[in-house]
Amino acid sequence: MLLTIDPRDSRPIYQQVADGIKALIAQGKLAEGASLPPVRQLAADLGVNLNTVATAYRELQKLGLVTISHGTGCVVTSSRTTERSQDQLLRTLRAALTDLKLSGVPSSEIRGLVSRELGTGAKRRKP
Amino acid sequence: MTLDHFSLAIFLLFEASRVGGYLRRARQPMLRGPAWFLSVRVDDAFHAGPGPHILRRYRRWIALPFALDVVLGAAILWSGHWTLLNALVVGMTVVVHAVHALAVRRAEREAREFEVDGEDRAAAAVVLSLAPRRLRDYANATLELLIAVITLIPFGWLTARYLRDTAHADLRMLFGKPLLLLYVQLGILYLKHVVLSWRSAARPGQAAEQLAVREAVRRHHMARFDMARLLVAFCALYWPMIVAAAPEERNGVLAFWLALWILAGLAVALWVESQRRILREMLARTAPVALPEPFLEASPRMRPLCFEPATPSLVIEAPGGLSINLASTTARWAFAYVAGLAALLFVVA
Repeated sequence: MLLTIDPRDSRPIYQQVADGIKALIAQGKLAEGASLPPVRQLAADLGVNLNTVATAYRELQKLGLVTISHGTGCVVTSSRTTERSQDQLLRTLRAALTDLKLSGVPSSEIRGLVSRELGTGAKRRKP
Repeated sequence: MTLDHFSLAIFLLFEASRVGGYLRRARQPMLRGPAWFLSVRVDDAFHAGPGPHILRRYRRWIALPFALDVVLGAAILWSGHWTLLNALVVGMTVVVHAVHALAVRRAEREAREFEVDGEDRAAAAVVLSLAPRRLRDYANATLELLIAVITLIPFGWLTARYLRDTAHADLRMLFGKPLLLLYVQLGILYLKHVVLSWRSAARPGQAAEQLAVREAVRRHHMARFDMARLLVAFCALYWPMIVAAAPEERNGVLAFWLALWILAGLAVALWVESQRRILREMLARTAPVALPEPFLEASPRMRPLCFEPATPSLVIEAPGGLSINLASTTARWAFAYVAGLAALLFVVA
């Protein structure tokens, strides 16, 4: 369960943390019931402020993927988000596909990318 | 053997072990072969040019504490208060580690000017593990039970003795030393907490190996601290025997225990050395990780102390040097511990 943070990425650090954890949940590497590290530990390891990690965890909580409680910390409770409808998610996907096409990525490469992403997720979810 | 002799024996053993420690640290820059100087990648030109000079300066720096404890040790011996040598040993342990950390930092900074294939450290990605780290993950249930039982034995015995003769018993005399030793155990638990909060991150490429080495080093230190707690708990057993012994037998009982402590300390030192060898081999196999503090929203100005409540780290790397964060949990616990120690010494002295 490794998380990579890249300062050259245009997304803010809290977004990278939230997206990284979301990806691990989607791939099944972080199963329901798995504990995430305390805010203090993750912030110290990354060398960021406590608020950065706390914001990332709150974002995951808003999506319904984790619950945060005083005693047990941050725990993965679901592998499905509850915040956005299927229509909204499809709109996001269409926008991303459009961006890829407009930036000149060939359709075959986009298809490969999508199946790679889905393949990893499906493989991890099987057990 | 008296307490004075014991203090001198411990001091001499400490000095002897420091020679080995110095030689180990002196070789540290070249641990990974000629391609590395500490955590800096270098080439042959470095070794032919400024390398030997930087290495000599580094070795002189780490030898500095010897001068300090020779002077202080001689002064204590001359004063006749030989038990102060114990305090010198504890103080020098801290000084040796602090001077070593500063010397490494200085040597790396000097060597970085000649680094080859240098990466932009502030812009490089970091990889970290999402596994939570808790103290209980580093505890051995059997060992904890053993330490608890050994710790309770003197307190149980002394309480029974106190209850038998409440009118004549002196609470401070009976419980003072075991309480101090219990407080030392708490201090070692605090050190475990410090090691738990060590930054654990790596660079893409060799991330899994680097994180595994970091974890092995952490586990090694945790095991050392547990051994130290067991030794301290074991030490406290001497006091009920001293209290129970007739006055003319006390010196004999004390000599027996002092000899036992030295033997137990030597056994632990041998075990630590064997573990170190394994760790050195692991470290030599992995490329070093030089992690900056790249993501802090606001870096403190260069100063020795700062107060940054939003930052969990004890030491913050500012552009001009290191700054100790007084707002970190580690710093707050350290202050609480020292204050508690002062209060305890005041009460039991």
